[in-house]
Amino acid sequence: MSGYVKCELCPRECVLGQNQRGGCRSRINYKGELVTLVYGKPCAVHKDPIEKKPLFHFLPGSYAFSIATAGCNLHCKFCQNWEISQVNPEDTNNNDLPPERVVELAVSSGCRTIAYTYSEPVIYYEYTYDTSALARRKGIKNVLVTAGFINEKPLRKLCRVIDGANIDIKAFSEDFYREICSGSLEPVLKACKISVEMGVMVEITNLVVPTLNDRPEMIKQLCGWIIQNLGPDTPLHFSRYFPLYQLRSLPPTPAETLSMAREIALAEGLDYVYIGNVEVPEADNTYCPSCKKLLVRRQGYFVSEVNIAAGKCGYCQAKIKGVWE
Amino acid sequence: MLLATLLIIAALVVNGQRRERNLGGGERVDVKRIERLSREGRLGIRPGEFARKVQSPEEEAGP
Repeated sequence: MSGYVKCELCPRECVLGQNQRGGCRSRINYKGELVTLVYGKPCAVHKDPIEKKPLFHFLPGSYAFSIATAGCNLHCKFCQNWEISQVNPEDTNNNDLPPERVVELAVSSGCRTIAYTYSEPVIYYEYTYDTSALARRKGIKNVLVTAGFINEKPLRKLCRVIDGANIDIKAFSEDFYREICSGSLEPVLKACKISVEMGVMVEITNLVVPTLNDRPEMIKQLCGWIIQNLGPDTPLHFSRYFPLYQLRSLPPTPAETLSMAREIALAEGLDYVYIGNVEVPEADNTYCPSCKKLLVRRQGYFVSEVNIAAGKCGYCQAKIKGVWE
Repeated sequence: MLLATLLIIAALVVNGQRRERNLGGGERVDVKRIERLSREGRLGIRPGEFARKVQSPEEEAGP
């Protein structure tokens, strides 16, 4: 008996000998079996506005009961949540919160959604799946905030219980994924397409890092791919980078760079383009792509006005992509 | 001399490829600590999905 196990959850496909840990830190070979260390053991539990995920086309103004465990299957040098994503689950302060308890807390705290977020829900897959299936039965929706680095088979299974997702496309470049994130772009693009195909409401985030992925040409390529493969009505968020973790030598992304990216995306033909992590006037509002009137007014994470009824523009009745009620 | 150099280069290439594919190269865990944390309710030890037993890491390399 060899004692090796192969994990086929994500494209890393780690082959682990006895007592070895996978690249995600949360799955190990224990006595010849692959086990997860983080099922029901979140290290982060919060009630957040859903706009914080960010999800702007998903029950605006509502709250998401948000959980995360330690670990991640990517290792981005600029990780903005590295204190929990780039550490072992033995070294975080974990709660004992089985799926039933998560759903109970979501209901009792008035959340309409459970968000699997902060670190990477793919690596706590079984916990995410079981909690989502239970939440569905209680009328609670489920959203992922993910880098989308997952194999097709587990993703297709997970999509059956997931309603929305914000998927990070970190850069439209294989070199960037390999050198900065220890991953690859192609499986992420595939995950985006599968999620949309399976009826998940997908929004995309691109964290813009000065000098690494802020070239207009790369942003154009990203937008073109989204339009062609996910549709022009896919919401896109350009997010501001702050110097953290292993990439502290670069300055925070200038607001002008994010505005430039937004202008490019709108010119390329995307309908809904937002800027996050920095205040840029009107760049976090939703406008009707048809009549151009204001549909959702946001100030930071808070929603002060919604002019969408039954999924349609309150002025011209154009259909607006999203989950609105 | 030439043969030795070639052998070293070949070893470096193979080793680099293995590291890139994460072939059984994960960090070793402290099983006793994990079992203790599990008894205390701070970690779980629960079967993971999408896994299978393999004969050797070399034959089962990821893409």
